Amino acid sequence: MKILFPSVGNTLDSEMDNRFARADWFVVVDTETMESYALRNGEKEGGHGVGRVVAQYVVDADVDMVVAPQVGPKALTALESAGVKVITGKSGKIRHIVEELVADQ
Amino acid sequence: MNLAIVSGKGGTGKTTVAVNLAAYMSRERDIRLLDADAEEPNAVLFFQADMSRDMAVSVMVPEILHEKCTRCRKCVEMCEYNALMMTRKGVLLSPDLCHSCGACMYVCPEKAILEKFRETGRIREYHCKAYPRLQVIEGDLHRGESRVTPVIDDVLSYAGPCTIIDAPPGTSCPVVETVKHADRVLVVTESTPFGLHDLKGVAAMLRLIRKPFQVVINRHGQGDDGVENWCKEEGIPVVLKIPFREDYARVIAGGGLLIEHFPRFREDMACLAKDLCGKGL
Repeated sequence: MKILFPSVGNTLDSEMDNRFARADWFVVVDTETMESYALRNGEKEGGHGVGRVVAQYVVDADVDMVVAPQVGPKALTALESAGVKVITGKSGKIRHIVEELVADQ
Repeated sequence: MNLAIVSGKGGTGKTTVAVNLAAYMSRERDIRLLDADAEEPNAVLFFQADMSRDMAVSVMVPEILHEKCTRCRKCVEMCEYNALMMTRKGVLLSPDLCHSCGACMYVCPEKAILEKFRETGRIREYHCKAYPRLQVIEGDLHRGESRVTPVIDDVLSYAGPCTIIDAPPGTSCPVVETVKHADRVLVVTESTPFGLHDLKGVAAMLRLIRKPFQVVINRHGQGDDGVENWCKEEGIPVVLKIPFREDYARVIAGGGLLIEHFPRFREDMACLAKDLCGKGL
Protein backbone atom coordinates (compact mmCIF):
# COMPACT_ATOMS: atom_id res chain seq x y z
CA MET A 1 0.00 0.00 0.00
CA LYS A 2 1.29 3.48 -0.91
CA ILE A 3 0.79 6.14 1.75
CA LEU A 4 1.42 9.86 1.32
CA PHE A 5 2.29 12.18 4.21
CA PRO A 6 2.56 15.98 4.20
CA SER A 7 5.98 16.69 5.63
CA VAL A 8 8.25 19.49 6.77
CA GLY A 9 11.29 17.62 5.39
CA ASN A 10 12.13 15.12 2.67
CA THR A 11 12.97 11.97 4.64
CA LEU A 12 11.18 9.28 6.62
CA ASP A 13 12.52 10.87 9.80
CA SER A 14 10.86 14.21 9.09
CA GLU A 15 7.89 15.46 11.08
CA MET A 16 4.49 15.66 9.42
CA ASP A 17 3.40 19.15 8.37
CA ASN A 18 0.26 20.41 10.08
CA ARG A 19 -0.99 21.75 6.77
CA PHE A 20 -1.77 19.35 3.96
CA ALA A 21 -2.00 21.17 0.65
CA ARG A 22 0.53 23.81 1.72
CA ALA A 23 3.13 21.48 3.18
CA ASP A 24 6.75 21.87 2.00
CA TRP A 25 7.10 18.22 1.03
CA PHE A 26 5.11 15.06 0.46
CA VAL A 27 6.74 11.84 1.55
CA VAL A 28 5.39 8.68 -0.12
CA VAL A 29 6.01 5.30 1.53
CA ASP A 30 5.32 1.85 0.10
CA THR A 31 4.48 -0.26 3.15
CA GLU A 32 5.25 -3.54 1.36
CA THR A 33 8.82 -2.69 0.36
CA MET A 34 9.36 0.13 2.89
CA GLU A 35 10.74 2.21 0.03
CA SER A 36 10.11 5.92 0.23
CA TYR A 37 10.57 9.04 -1.84
CA ALA A 38 9.79 12.72 -1.43
CA LEU A 39 7.98 15.14 -3.74
CA ARG A 40 8.51 18.87 -3.36
CA ASN A 41 5.13 20.65 -3.15
CA GLY A 42 5.15 23.14 -6.01
CA GLU A 43 1.69 24.40 -4.98
CA LYS A 44 2.78 25.55 -1.53
CA GLU A 45 2.16 29.22 -2.38
CA GLY A 46 -0.87 28.51 -4.58
CA GLY A 47 -4.06 30.54 -4.33
CA HIS A 48 -7.67 29.60 -3.69
CA GLY A 49 -8.53 25.97 -4.37
CA VAL A 50 -4.98 24.67 -3.99
CA GLY A 51 -6.30 21.64 -2.09
CA ARG A 52 -7.89 20.40 -5.29
CA VAL A 53 -4.67 20.80 -7.31
CA VAL A 54 -2.73 18.84 -4.73
CA ALA A 55 -5.45 16.19 -4.62
CA GLN A 56 -4.90 15.68 -8.36
CA TYR A 57 -1.15 15.14 -7.76
CA VAL A 58 -1.92 12.62 -5.06
CA VAL A 59 -4.32 10.73 -7.31
CA ASP A 60 -1.80 10.82 -10.17
CA ALA A 61 0.93 9.46 -7.87
CA ASP A 62 -1.31 6.37 -7.50
CA VAL A 63 -1.38 6.66 -3.73
CA ASP A 64 -3.86 4.48 -1.76
CA MET A 65 -3.93 6.44 1.46
CA VAL A 66 -3.17 9.90 2.82
CA VAL A 67 -2.20 10.31 6.49
CA ALA A 68 -2.03 13.85 7.87
CA PRO A 69 -2.66 15.89 11.01
CA GLN A 70 -5.50 17.56 9.11
CA VAL A 71 -6.75 17.88 5.52
CA GLY A 72 -8.67 20.91 4.22
CA PRO A 73 -12.28 20.46 3.07
CA LYS A 74 -11.59 20.80 -0.67
CA ALA A 75 -8.72 18.32 -0.70
CA LEU A 76 -10.66 15.95 1.57
CA THR A 77 -13.79 15.79 -0.61
CA ALA A 78 -11.68 15.42 -3.74
CA LEU A 79 -9.49 12.65 -2.29
CA GLU A 80 -12.40 10.71 -0.86
CA SER A 81 -14.44 10.96 -4.07
CA ALA A 82 -11.39 9.75 -5.97
CA GLY A 83 -11.22 6.68 -3.75
CA VAL A 84 -8.15 7.63 -1.70
CA LYS A 85 -8.46 6.73 1.98
CA VAL A 86 -7.75 9.69 4.26
CA ILE A 87 -6.70 9.40 7.89
CA THR A 88 -6.39 12.59 9.91
CA GLY A 89 -5.53 13.40 13.52
CA LYS A 90 -2.04 11.87 13.35
CA SER A 91 1.11 13.85 14.01
CA GLY A 92 4.81 13.31 14.71
CA LYS A 93 7.60 11.54 12.81
CA ILE A 94 6.54 9.81 9.61
CA ARG A 95 8.61 6.71 10.42
CA HIS A 96 6.71 6.21 13.69
CA ILE A 97 3.34 6.54 12.01
CA VAL A 98 4.33 4.04 9.31
CA GLU A 99 5.45 1.54 11.95
CA GLU A 100 2.21 2.07 13.85
CA LEU A 101 0.11 1.53 10.72
CA VAL A 102 2.06 -1.58 9.66
CA ALA A 103 1.69 -3.05 13.17
CA ASP A 104 -2.06 -2.46 13.04
CA GLN A 105 -2.46 -4.31 9.75
CA MET B 1 -31.83 55.92 -10.90
CA ASN B 2 -29.94 53.47 -8.72
CA LEU B 3 -28.49 54.49 -5.39
CA ALA B 4 -26.08 52.01 -3.82
CA ILE B 5 -25.43 52.24 -0.10
CA VAL B 6 -22.05 50.76 0.71
CA SER B 7 -19.62 50.66 3.61
CA GLY B 8 -16.01 49.65 3.64
CA LYS B 9 -16.41 48.38 7.17
CA GLY B 10 -19.23 46.05 8.19
CA GLY B 11 -21.64 47.11 10.92
CA THR B 12 -21.46 50.84 10.24
CA GLY B 13 -25.18 51.29 9.64
CA LYS B 14 -25.51 50.70 5.91
CA THR B 15 -28.75 48.77 6.30
CA THR B 16 -30.12 51.33 8.79
CA VAL B 17 -29.70 54.09 6.22
CA ALA B 18 -31.01 51.93 3.36
CA VAL B 19 -34.22 50.75 5.05
CA ASN B 20 -35.10 54.12 6.55
CA LEU B 21 -34.40 56.06 3.38
CA ALA B 22 -36.34 53.54 1.29
CA ALA B 23 -39.33 53.59 3.66
CA TYR B 24 -39.29 57.38 3.86
CA MET B 25 -39.05 57.91 0.11
CA SER B 26 -41.72 55.30 -0.65
CA ARG B 27 -44.31 57.61 0.89
CA GLU B 28 -44.20 59.68 -2.30
CA ARG B 29 -43.02 57.33 -4.99
CA ASP B 30 -42.52 53.67 -5.92
CA ILE B 31 -39.28 52.45 -4.42
CA ARG B 32 -37.48 49.18 -4.83
CA LEU B 33 -35.13 48.24 -2.05
CA LEU B 34 -32.68 45.59 -3.22
CA ASP B 35 -30.82 43.73 -0.49
CA ALA B 36 -27.64 42.71 -2.29
CA ASP B 37 -25.88 41.72 0.92
CA ALA B 38 -26.68 38.17 -0.10
CA GLU B 39 -24.42 36.43 2.39
CA GLU B 40 -26.46 37.92 5.23
CA PRO B 41 -29.59 39.64 3.92
CA ASN B 42 -31.41 41.47 6.72
CA ALA B 43 -33.17 44.53 5.29
CA VAL B 44 -36.56 42.80 5.34
CA LEU B 45 -36.33 42.29 9.10
CA PHE B 46 -37.14 45.98 9.55
CA PHE B 47 -40.56 45.62 7.89
CA GLN B 48 -43.59 43.55 8.72
CA ALA B 49 -43.41 42.15 5.22
CA ASP B 50 -45.15 39.36 3.35
CA MET B 51 -43.24 37.31 0.85
CA SER B 52 -44.87 37.44 -2.56
CA ARG B 53 -42.33 35.51 -4.63
CA ASP B 54 -39.50 33.09 -3.94
CA MET B 55 -37.29 32.12 -6.88
CA ALA B 56 -34.15 30.08 -7.40
CA VAL B 57 -30.79 31.48 -8.50
CA SER B 58 -28.92 28.93 -10.54
CA VAL B 59 -25.53 28.72 -12.18
CA MET B 60 -24.40 26.37 -14.95
CA VAL B 61 -22.01 23.55 -14.11
CA PRO B 62 -20.65 20.82 -16.37
CA GLU B 63 -22.20 17.38 -16.48
CA ILE B 64 -19.71 14.73 -17.58
CA LEU B 65 -21.01 11.93 -19.80
CA HIS B 66 -18.65 9.25 -18.51
CA GLU B 67 -19.47 6.75 -21.27
CA LYS B 68 -18.23 9.23 -23.89
CA CYS B 69 -15.16 10.40 -21.91
CA THR B 70 -11.79 9.09 -23.17
CA ARG B 71 -9.90 10.54 -20.17
CA CYS B 72 -7.79 12.84 -22.36
CA ARG B 73 -7.66 15.38 -19.46
CA LYS B 74 -8.11 18.39 -21.74
CA CYS B 75 -10.95 19.68 -19.56
CA VAL B 76 -8.95 19.18 -16.35
CA GLU B 77 -5.99 21.09 -17.81
CA MET B 78 -8.23 23.85 -19.16
CA CYS B 79 -10.08 24.55 -15.90
CA GLU B 80 -8.62 27.73 -14.43
CA TYR B 81 -10.41 27.17 -11.12
CA ASN B 82 -9.33 23.55 -10.48
CA ALA B 83 -12.93 22.44 -10.40
CA LEU B 84 -12.22 19.30 -12.43
CA MET B 85 -10.04 16.40 -11.44
CA MET B 86 -9.12 13.14 -13.17
CA THR B 87 -9.59 10.08 -10.99
CA ARG B 88 -9.69 6.33 -11.47
CA LYS B 89 -13.44 6.68 -11.85
CA GLY B 90 -13.19 9.42 -14.48
CA VAL B 91 -13.54 13.22 -14.38
CA LEU B 92 -14.74 14.51 -11.04
CA LEU B 93 -16.36 17.94 -10.56
CA SER B 94 -16.09 20.09 -7.43
CA PRO B 95 -19.18 22.23 -8.07
CA ASP B 96 -18.26 24.86 -5.46
CA LEU B 97 -15.09 25.78 -7.38
CA CYS B 98 -16.77 26.00 -10.81
CA HIS B 99 -17.13 29.54 -12.20
CA SER B 100 -19.53 28.44 -14.98
CA CYS B 101 -17.19 29.61 -17.75
CA GLY B 102 -17.98 26.63 -20.00
CA ALA B 103 -14.36 26.22 -21.17
CA CYS B 104 -14.35 22.49 -20.31
CA MET B 105 -17.31 21.92 -22.59
CA TYR B 106 -15.64 23.93 -25.33
CA VAL B 107 -12.34 21.99 -25.28
CA CYS B 108 -13.81 18.50 -24.95
CA PRO B 109 -13.05 16.75 -28.26
CA GLU B 110 -15.60 13.99 -27.53
CA LYS B 111 -18.51 16.33 -26.71
CA ALA B 112 -18.73 14.43 -23.46
CA ILE B 113 -19.61 17.49 -21.40
CA LEU B 114 -23.06 19.05 -21.15
CA GLU B 115 -24.22 21.81 -18.83
CA LYS B 116 -26.82 21.60 -16.10
CA PHE B 117 -28.30 24.02 -13.59
CA ARG B 118 -27.21 24.13 -9.98
CA GLU B 119 -29.10 26.22 -7.45
CA THR B 120 -26.84 28.44 -5.33
CA GLY B 121 -29.33 30.85 -3.78
CA ARG B 122 -32.83 32.36 -3.70
CA ILE B 123 -34.37 35.68 -4.68
CA ARG B 124 -37.33 36.72 -2.52
CA GLU B 125 -39.74 39.52 -3.13
CA TYR B 126 -41.64 41.16 -0.25
CA HIS B 127 -44.40 43.72 0.19
CA CYS B 128 -45.50 45.40 3.38
CA LYS B 129 -48.84 46.92 4.31
CA ALA B 130 -47.35 49.92 6.11
CA TYR B 131 -45.38 50.96 3.02
CA PRO B 132 -47.49 49.96 0.01
CA ARG B 133 -45.24 51.67 -2.53
CA LEU B 134 -42.16 49.86 -1.28
CA GLN B 135 -41.00 46.57 -2.70
CA VAL B 136 -38.16 44.72 -0.98
CA ILE B 137 -36.17 42.19 -2.99
CA GLU B 138 -33.46 40.17 -1.30
CA GLY B 139 -30.80 37.82 -2.56
CA ASP B 140 -29.92 34.94 -0.26
CA LEU B 141 -26.86 32.82 -0.99
CA HIS B 142 -27.15 29.23 0.23
CA ARG B 143 -24.90 28.34 3.16
CA GLY B 144 -21.57 26.89 2.11
CA GLU B 145 -21.63 28.48 -1.35
CA SER B 146 -18.63 30.64 -2.15
CA ARG B 147 -19.70 32.60 -5.23
CA VAL B 148 -22.06 35.37 -4.27
CA THR B 149 -21.88 37.40 -7.51
CA PRO B 150 -24.46 35.36 -9.48
CA VAL B 151 -27.01 36.01 -6.71
CA ILE B 152 -26.12 39.72 -6.63
CA ASP B 153 -26.46 39.93 -10.42
CA ASP B 154 -29.93 38.41 -10.17
CA VAL B 155 -31.04 40.78 -7.39
CA LEU B 156 -29.80 43.77 -9.35
CA SER B 157 -31.80 42.72 -12.39
CA TYR B 158 -34.86 43.84 -10.37
CA ALA B 159 -33.72 47.48 -10.38
CA GLY B 160 -36.58 49.81 -11.24
CA PRO B 161 -36.86 53.53 -11.97
CA CYS B 162 -36.17 54.34 -8.31
CA THR B 163 -33.93 51.84 -6.62
CA ILE B 164 -32.00 51.75 -3.36
CA ILE B 165 -29.43 49.00 -3.06
CA ASP B 166 -28.15 47.72 0.27
CA ALA B 167 -24.67 46.54 -0.78
CA PRO B 168 -22.49 43.89 0.83
CA PRO B 169 -19.77 45.27 3.12
CA GLY B 170 -16.11 45.50 2.14
CA THR B 171 -14.42 46.48 -1.11
CA SER B 172 -14.10 43.20 -2.98
CA CYS B 173 -15.88 41.56 -5.97
CA PRO B 174 -19.41 41.46 -4.48
CA VAL B 175 -19.29 45.22 -3.77
CA VAL B 176 -17.80 46.06 -7.16
CA GLU B 177 -20.52 43.93 -8.77
CA THR B 178 -23.14 45.92 -6.83
CA VAL B 179 -21.88 49.46 -7.41
CA LYS B 180 -21.20 48.73 -11.08
CA HIS B 181 -24.96 49.08 -11.63
CA ALA B 182 -25.37 52.19 -9.46
CA ASP B 183 -25.64 55.77 -10.64
CA ARG B 184 -24.92 57.17 -7.22
CA VAL B 185 -23.13 55.81 -4.16
CA LEU B 186 -23.48 56.65 -0.48
CA VAL B 187 -20.69 55.38 1.77
CA VAL B 188 -21.77 54.85 5.37
CA THR B 189 -18.90 54.99 7.84
CA GLU B 190 -18.29 55.63 11.52
CA SER B 191 -15.95 58.13 13.14
CA THR B 192 -13.39 55.65 14.43
CA PRO B 193 -9.91 54.73 13.17
CA PHE B 194 -11.37 51.47 11.81
CA GLY B 195 -14.11 53.39 10.04
CA LEU B 196 -11.55 55.72 8.48
CA HIS B 197 -9.27 52.89 7.41
CA ASP B 198 -12.05 51.04 5.61
CA LEU B 199 -13.49 54.29 4.20
CA LYS B 200 -10.13 54.92 2.53
CA GLY B 201 -10.28 51.43 1.04
CA VAL B 202 -13.77 51.82 -0.37
CA ALA B 203 -12.97 55.35 -1.61
CA ALA B 204 -9.95 54.03 -3.51
CA MET B 205 -12.12 51.31 -5.08
CA LEU B 206 -14.87 53.76 -6.08
CA ARG B 207 -12.35 56.16 -7.61
CA LEU B 208 -10.80 53.30 -9.54
CA ILE B 209 -14.13 52.43 -11.15
CA ARG B 210 -14.99 56.15 -11.46
CA LYS B 211 -18.12 56.23 -9.29
CA PRO B 212 -18.83 59.55 -7.59
CA PHE B 213 -19.79 59.13 -3.94
CA GLN B 214 -20.83 60.95 -0.79
CA VAL B 215 -20.35 60.03 2.85
CA VAL B 216 -22.74 59.44 5.74
CA ILE B 217 -21.11 59.38 9.17
CA ASN B 218 -22.98 57.16 11.60
CA ARG B 219 -22.60 57.11 15.40
CA HIS B 220 -21.26 60.64 15.13
CA GLY B 221 -19.91 62.12 18.37
CA GLN B 222 -18.30 58.86 19.31
CA GLY B 223 -14.69 58.14 18.39
CA ASP B 224 -12.57 60.92 16.85
CA ASP B 225 -12.50 63.54 14.07
CA GLY B 226 -10.39 61.42 11.72
CA VAL B 227 -13.16 60.67 9.21
CA GLU B 228 -14.41 64.28 9.03
CA ASN B 229 -10.91 65.70 8.64
CA TRP B 230 -10.01 63.21 5.95
CA CYS B 231 -13.22 63.89 3.98
CA LYS B 232 -12.49 67.63 4.20
CA GLU B 233 -8.94 67.14 2.93
CA GLU B 234 -10.11 64.93 0.07
CA GLY B 235 -13.06 67.16 -0.86
CA ILE B 236 -15.57 64.35 -0.29
CA PRO B 237 -19.02 65.70 0.67
CA VAL B 238 -20.42 64.50 4.01
CA VAL B 239 -24.18 64.59 3.42
CA LEU B 240 -25.40 63.33 6.80
CA LYS B 241 -24.14 62.83 10.34
CA ILE B 242 -26.25 60.45 12.40
CA PRO B 243 -25.63 61.08 16.11
CA PHE B 244 -24.57 58.29 18.46
CA ARG B 245 -27.64 57.77 20.64
CA GLU B 246 -28.67 54.90 22.84
CA ASP B 247 -32.38 55.28 21.96
CA TYR B 248 -31.51 54.90 18.26
CA ALA B 249 -29.57 51.73 19.02
CA ARG B 250 -32.49 50.28 20.99
CA VAL B 251 -34.96 50.81 18.14
CA ILE B 252 -32.58 49.31 15.56
CA ALA B 253 -31.83 46.31 17.78
CA GLY B 254 -35.59 45.75 18.13
CA GLY B 255 -35.98 45.68 14.33
CA GLY B 256 -37.70 49.08 14.19
CA LEU B 257 -37.43 51.94 11.71
CA LEU B 258 -35.89 55.12 13.12
CA ILE B 259 -38.19 57.29 10.97
CA GLU B 260 -41.19 55.90 12.87
CA HIS B 261 -39.78 56.89 16.26
CA PHE B 262 -37.66 60.01 15.88
CA PRO B 263 -38.84 63.20 14.12
CA ARG B 264 -35.24 64.35 13.97
CA PHE B 265 -34.21 61.27 12.05
CA ARG B 266 -37.21 61.70 9.75
CA GLU B 267 -35.92 65.19 8.97
CA ASP B 268 -32.47 63.76 8.31
CA MET B 269 -33.99 61.35 5.78
CA ALA B 270 -36.03 64.20 4.26
CA CYS B 271 -32.83 66.21 3.71
CA LEU B 272 -31.05 63.22 2.27
CA ALA B 273 -34.00 62.41 -0.02
CA LYS B 274 -34.22 66.03 -1.14
CA ASP B 275 -30.54 66.13 -1.88
CA LEU B 276 -30.76 62.89 -3.84
CA CYS B 277 -33.96 63.87 -5.70
CA GLY B 278 -32.51 67.23 -6.61
CA LYS B 279 -29.92 65.19 -8.45
CA GLY B 280 -32.39 62.90 -10.17
CA LEU B 281 -33.34 59.96 -7.93
